[in-house]
Amino acid sequence: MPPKEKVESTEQVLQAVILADSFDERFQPITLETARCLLPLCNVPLISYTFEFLAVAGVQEVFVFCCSHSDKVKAFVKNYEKTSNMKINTIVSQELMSVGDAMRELDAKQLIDTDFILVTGDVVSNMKLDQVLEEHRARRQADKSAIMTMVLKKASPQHRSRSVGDGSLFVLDQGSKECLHYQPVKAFKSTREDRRMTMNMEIFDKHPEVQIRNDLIDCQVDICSVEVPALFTENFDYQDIRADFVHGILTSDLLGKTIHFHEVTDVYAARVRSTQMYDAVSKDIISRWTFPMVPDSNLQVGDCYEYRRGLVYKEKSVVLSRTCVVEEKVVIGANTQIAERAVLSNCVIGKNCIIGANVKIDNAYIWDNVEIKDNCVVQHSIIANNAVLEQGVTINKGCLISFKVTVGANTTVPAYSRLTALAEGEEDDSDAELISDPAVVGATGRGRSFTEAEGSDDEDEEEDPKNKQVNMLAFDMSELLLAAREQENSASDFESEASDLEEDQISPEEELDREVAATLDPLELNTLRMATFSNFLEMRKRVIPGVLKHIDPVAKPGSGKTAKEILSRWGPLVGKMIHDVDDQIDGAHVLHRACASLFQDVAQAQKVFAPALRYFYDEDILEEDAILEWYHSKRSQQGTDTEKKLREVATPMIQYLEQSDSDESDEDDDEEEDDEDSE
Amino acid sequence: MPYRKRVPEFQAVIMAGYGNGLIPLSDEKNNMPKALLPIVNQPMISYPLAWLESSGVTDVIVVSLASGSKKLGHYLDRVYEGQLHISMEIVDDNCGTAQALARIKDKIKTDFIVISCDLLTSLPPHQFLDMHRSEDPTVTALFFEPNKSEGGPSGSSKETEVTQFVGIDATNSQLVYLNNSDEMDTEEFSLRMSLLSKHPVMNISRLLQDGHLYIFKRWVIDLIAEVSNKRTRASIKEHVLPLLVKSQYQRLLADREGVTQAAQTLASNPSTQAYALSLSTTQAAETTDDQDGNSQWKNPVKCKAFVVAKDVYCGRANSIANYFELNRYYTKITDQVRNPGAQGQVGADSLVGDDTKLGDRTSVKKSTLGSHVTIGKNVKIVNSIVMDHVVLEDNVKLDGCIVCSGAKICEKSGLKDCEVGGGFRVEKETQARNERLVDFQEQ
Repeated sequence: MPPKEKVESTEQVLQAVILADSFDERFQPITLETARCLLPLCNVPLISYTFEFLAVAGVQEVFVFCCSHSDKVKAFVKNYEKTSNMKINTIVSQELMSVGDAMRELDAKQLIDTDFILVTGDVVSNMKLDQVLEEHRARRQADKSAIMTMVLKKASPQHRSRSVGDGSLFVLDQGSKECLHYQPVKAFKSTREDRRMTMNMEIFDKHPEVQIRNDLIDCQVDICSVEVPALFTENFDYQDIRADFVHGILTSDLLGKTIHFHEVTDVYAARVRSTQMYDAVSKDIISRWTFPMVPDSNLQVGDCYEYRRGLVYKEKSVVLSRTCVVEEKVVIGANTQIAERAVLSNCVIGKNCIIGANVKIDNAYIWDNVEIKDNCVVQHSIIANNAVLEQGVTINKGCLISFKVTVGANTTVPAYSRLTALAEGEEDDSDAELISDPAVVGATGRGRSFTEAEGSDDEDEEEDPKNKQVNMLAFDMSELLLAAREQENSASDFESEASDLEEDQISPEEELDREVAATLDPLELNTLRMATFSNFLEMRKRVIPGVLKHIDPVAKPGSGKTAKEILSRWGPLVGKMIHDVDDQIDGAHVLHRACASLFQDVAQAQKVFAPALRYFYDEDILEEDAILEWYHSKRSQQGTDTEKKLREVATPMIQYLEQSDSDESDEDDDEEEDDEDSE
Repeated sequence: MPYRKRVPEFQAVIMAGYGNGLIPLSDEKNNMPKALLPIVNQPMISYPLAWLESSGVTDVIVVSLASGSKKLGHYLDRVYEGQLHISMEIVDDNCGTAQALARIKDKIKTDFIVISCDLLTSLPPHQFLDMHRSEDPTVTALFFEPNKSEGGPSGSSKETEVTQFVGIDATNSQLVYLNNSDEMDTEEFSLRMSLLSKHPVMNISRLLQDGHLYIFKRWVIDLIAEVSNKRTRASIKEHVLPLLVKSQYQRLLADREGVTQAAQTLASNPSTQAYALSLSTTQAAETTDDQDGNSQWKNPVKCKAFVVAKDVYCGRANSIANYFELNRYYTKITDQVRNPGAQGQVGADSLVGDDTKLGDRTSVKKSTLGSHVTIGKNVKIVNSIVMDHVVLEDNVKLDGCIVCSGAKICEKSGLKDCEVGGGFRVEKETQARNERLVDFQEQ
């Protein structure tokens, strides 16, 4: 290399920014007590892997942004810096709520003056970045508008290190290495937008040949230019770096910036974004996919793991009893004692743990100083520091047991429980006393079950709860579907019960009913609604039957009483009571029930129901998604015989809907309508 | 095992259409049908015939429209010198390509190749056929990226170009998506997610063109017949191929349009290769995992796309501009004697046919001249195609023109970017630009 270049390259300090906070609550309740980036992954704090990854990439200066539990992160970083040749700065800001805030903070402090690497504090990767950096710099030299290079790893769509709920879809130009479109992929595609990839047609004007990729792992390793933080400041509503920033830049006509990508293969890269990914990445580390970041390379000072046959890693000081069985894929930390006849497989056990006799541990992650007494069974769960399982405890899969929880003797903890020992209304050192819940942790236990809502001001409420569950440890798709259905059932049961009660007790409701039937005028109805403080849900329950009552199934056309005539007169009114998809689904249910209860004769009810459903669909009062959802819900499948028969009437229509849903182009729609008519 | 008559692997069908894009050149009364239009003084159809011959196909059916059949029949009977067994079928004029195929349904006994008479390519046939042989799909279709035109007559009819969006799975070159831009939303491009999870790496291109070269399974002819019953002027490109592509993942559509049913004839007679694979212990059983819950549904259709590499020449003479471009390209690379009479000034990238007379001080550049052309003195021909029996008088200038056979251009005329119809007489001292000079009655 010529000397001149050398001088230049030493002048330019390679900087990296780590976003240590994850800005989500997936690891709660564990993350109530410590920072996400300090969680031990195979007995090494998560952020160490990120530091290691950056050090290998040749980074000289690192800025760590942290928000929650910043004192702990700061202390750890200070300690870590002693053994590292990188300069590590910690930036603490309590106001950070999102990646966007962190970037704005970065811009405000003017810490960065060259291109930098932006990563999150939970990246585990063994890729080298020199080639990416080179490409990025060359591109920058040629074209100043190329502001960012994303590093994407190729994998199959169902790859385990591609977390199910956080998929992403990229549209790329392989020629210019430009990213043209980004779209997140949800596990449960509840809306039409989720089920389709949609991009702007204009993209094809500039890029006639594009590649759509649904097989990339996006571990959010980005090479950013200094403009990136500035753009975040300019667009103060940007929160997420992908959904907001990348999407915003790519769809903006004004900014004229481009985002590029670099595809890597044959390396390991993953983010520990959820408990499920925690599980997957741990397995990958144990199976040595992340080499050289494996337990026996002893990333942490003081560790001294040795690597044994069957992917077993063991510290020297571990005490194994003579009859215990250590099967494959096990990591055991220092000073841990394993008693007689314990069986360990596919698990990580921290330092100073005591594992009793006859204990069975499978697929579990047991952190430091945990005591598991005799005859316990632990499956597919995470148990945090200083937790105690008394004798004969069974922990079913998917549990998160937070710090210092004690589970009393002979307790069975149900699957997917989350236990914490923090008092309610916790937040650090408040004086509130912990009220243990004996139902959960047993009579002698210490702890309570943790519910999601507490301590979190969730901003994305619209998100489907099912999509959240997908990221849970040991989740099982089929189980989840089942659970979701049951939930739906119980919810609807509750709802109908509640409304029954109301109707019994409150006479104004009945009055409303009568008035609705009498007036049927949108304006008056609205005032009526306000007068009686009822919501649209209640209104629908009354208005729809009110309208249906007017229909005379045996009336002749022209008499003004047929289903068609009544509906075309009053249908739009019903439409006014229906606003979003949930309303539509509920509307379909109400219509279904109302038809069944109003008309005793099944044939008559069918005669009203079928055209009504059809009419609502044609008028877009009920959209296709809502009708499908209604049809497939358990609630519609149960009920009286009349209701069942009514549902059958809708079957041809559902078939038609599903058919048209599966059809790609509109061209076929006309024919389908013909088909439908002939049916 | 009973004695079996040798069945050829593929039958080939050449579609010799009317050539709407080539009017006025392809007018039979005055000139010749599209299939016989000269490219480097060879009829266009001779190129696909030669291509098929080198691919090893022996039986060829030429399907011609009634209006052009006489001259084409004569050519195939008397003039054509190749080794192929050619039989000619004549169908009515207003016939779509699918309809035309449906007419000759009974003649199709094996898997069949469908090729258009206007496809010229330097692609070695075995590359294309081998893809079909190894993958065993329902249909293999050829796509190519058109070469950029160097200018010339664009054809006065500036037809609005319909671009096609072609989606090909990058890992196994399965043809997954096909849509014409005129049928699509102009604002948004949209695809189903389920399609993308089945084909995680998909290339979408707007540049690729359908080469009108397909290999179909035998059973598809039944489907083609069915499609052409339902529609008038059913075409392979616009109706059959999109239907097959969609049937790959849309079960209801496949059932409704009779694709599944047609494909079942195949199931009762599985190919020997599939049978061999099923016996194999090393071949994993084919699993069609499907999130939509129809995992039992065995996909009846598999479409493959063969994309011609960029350095291999491929083109279709389906418009005047393309015809001109193809002619220029093939003139450049032909190994025929360029100037048999060694008269006048003839550029290295030009070709002069037999018995053509060039007057003094005549120069020919980047042009193709047919046989028996009579050219006067001081004539300049640049960038043009002059067909047989044309007379060019003294001091004529042609630039970017196509002059059909039997035309006469009188002295001192100057034509630029014009098409001159067959037998047309251009009066002297005519100056024209971008015009179509043809007999009045056919307009």
